[in-house]
Amino acid sequence: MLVFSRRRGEAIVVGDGIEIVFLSAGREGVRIGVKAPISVPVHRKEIYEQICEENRQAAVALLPAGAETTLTPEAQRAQDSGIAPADESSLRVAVKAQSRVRSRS
Amino acid sequence: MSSPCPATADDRIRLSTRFGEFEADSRNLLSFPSGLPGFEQCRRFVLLSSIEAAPLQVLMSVDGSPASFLTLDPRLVLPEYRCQLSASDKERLGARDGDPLLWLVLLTIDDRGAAFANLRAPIVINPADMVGYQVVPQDSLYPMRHPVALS
Repeated sequence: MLVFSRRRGEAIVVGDGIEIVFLSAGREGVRIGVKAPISVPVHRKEIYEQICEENRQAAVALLPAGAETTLTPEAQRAQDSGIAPADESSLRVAVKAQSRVRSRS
Repeated sequence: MSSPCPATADDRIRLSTRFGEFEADSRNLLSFPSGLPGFEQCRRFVLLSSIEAAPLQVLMSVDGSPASFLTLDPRLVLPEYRCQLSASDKERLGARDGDPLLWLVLLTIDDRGAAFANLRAPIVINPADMVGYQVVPQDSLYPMRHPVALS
């Protein structure tokens, strides 16, 4: 890790167009400003990590244990044939359905 | 993209899920240029629907890791659900104001079978470009685990 000493108002430049400015320091911590191109996401690390952890749990627990074994072969076949991957037009239909939900509320 | 993909020469992809097998082609591929947090290597997904599973849909990675997620329209959970996209989010989605966008939230099902929707970090998809992102809001009042009653 690169370590810098910075005075108030001094900055570090990272890559193309990313600037990290040290605004102030106090007992509670330091205030940092980040200037980045609009296409570069900037996150507080702990928030990003919380979402990572929640996503990992969401992916592992796809269905409650035993759910798939309750399907009969007939039901399983019917379900297989009904699987439809979305394309642009079906997604647009889904967006319209969402806006109907919104306007009802 | 370096990750292996089971695409055949005619660009059809045959995928096995625990729901059964199905075929998808390039028109079904959703690009997630940043992956999902925790699944950054998953850049291409398909969104699967079936009558049996409705209103749940499955967001399934077709790159490398077999990550799948149950998703739901957040407004079925909270009708007044609103999430503000930042200028950066809109830029990355290629979305201008007023463009139709699809919102989904990921479900987590715990050991006891209780379901929770992640209302804090929704998935947004721009159908026009078939591009999606998971929004990582800096300040959101919505919980990461909102209880959902699945019937």
